[in-house]
Amino acid sequence: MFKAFFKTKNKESRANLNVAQLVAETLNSRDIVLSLKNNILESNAQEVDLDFSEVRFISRSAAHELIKLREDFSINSDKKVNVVNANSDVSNMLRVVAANRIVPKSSEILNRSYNRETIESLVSSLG
Amino acid sequence: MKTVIVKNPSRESLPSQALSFLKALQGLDTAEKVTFNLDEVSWCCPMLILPLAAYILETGSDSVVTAKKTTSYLNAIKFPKGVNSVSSLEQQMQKNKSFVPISVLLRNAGADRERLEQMFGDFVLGQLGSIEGTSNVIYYPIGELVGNIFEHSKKEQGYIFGQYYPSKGYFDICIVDRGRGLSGAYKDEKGLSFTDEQAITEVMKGNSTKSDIERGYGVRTSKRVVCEGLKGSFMLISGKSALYCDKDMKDAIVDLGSLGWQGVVIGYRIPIPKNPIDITPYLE
Repeated sequence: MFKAFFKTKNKESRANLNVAQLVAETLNSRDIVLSLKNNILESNAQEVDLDFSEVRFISRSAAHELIKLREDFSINSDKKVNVVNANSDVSNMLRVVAANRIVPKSSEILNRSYNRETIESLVSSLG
Repeated sequence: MKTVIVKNPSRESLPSQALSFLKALQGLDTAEKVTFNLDEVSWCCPMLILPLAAYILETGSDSVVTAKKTTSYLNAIKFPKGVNSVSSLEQQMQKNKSFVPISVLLRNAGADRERLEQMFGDFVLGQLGSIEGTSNVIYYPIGELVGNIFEHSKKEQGYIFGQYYPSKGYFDICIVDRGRGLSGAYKDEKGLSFTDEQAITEVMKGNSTKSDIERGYGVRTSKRVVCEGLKGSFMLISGKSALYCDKDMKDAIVDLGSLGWQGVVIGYRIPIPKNPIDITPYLE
């Protein structure tokens, strides 16, 4: 059934996979990105374009999984996986997550302190 | 079967809603079957009603709930069973465009689960308007926090529910699981023994319950998007501890004493966005 979503431009070289039609217009979970792996593997093409033209949003987790998936194909397969037609929000998320992979979490976050409350005192203080 | 009386929350805040359901469940065994009496409850906010729905469904408790003041609302949101497919959600939303029913998200539903989340996000966005950047800040916490349910809980289902209060000017969202909780996830996945409070602070540091050091951003960045980006409030309950933050940046670890929840409850409140919002600074 998934083959309906492939548009093979050149049977042996390149295929186009419409991500929104196959999954959803908002990509949230890691699982759903991993499910794309099977669709990519189903294609005979050497190069697969993941077409994000109808995708409105991608979560940070899904973006991270997508970057890892592309990396995995790049290292362990002769298939090339491209992300094409992504809107500016999706592109930005992919860029932020990719950049973040080489930047450690800040010490400000790691050493953050908290007020301590009971739930009753918190309810009273918030009014 | 024991009948549990649910008290009306004394205030509107998220902690007050939480206190109401936590007190109702106080002293019950994890899987004890009960009947809930909501006759005293005037407003069934998500942070109060969704944990009760999850409790009823996961324990097989009697779903015959008495609720003098809120019966028609509870019927409209399909309490407690909710809906678990795109087709049933579409059907319910056509019947009543003001409410989105309780959604039961199934781990293995694949694209159907993804579309349920999308429809829920679309509903929230439809209520809160279309100011530039709003869609990102609406979809982001939904996606990350629901994803987290399935990452840490090991349960096959999770729950999400939301309600817009136009006269109050905010939208409440609640996400629930009845899994092993955050401390249980650290114990099982990494062999680390944390109290519930320690587990929550580790999550907020971005230390994932998974071994992948590149993970662990979802909850903390979602909290930042809600509290800093949207000027809202955010509460996370796991076991006998909780975290509460609001727009004034008052971050508090909350000792629940003899109260508690098996699993995780996350509630957040979003005021209607008035200005364009850029999500990028909160993604870290």
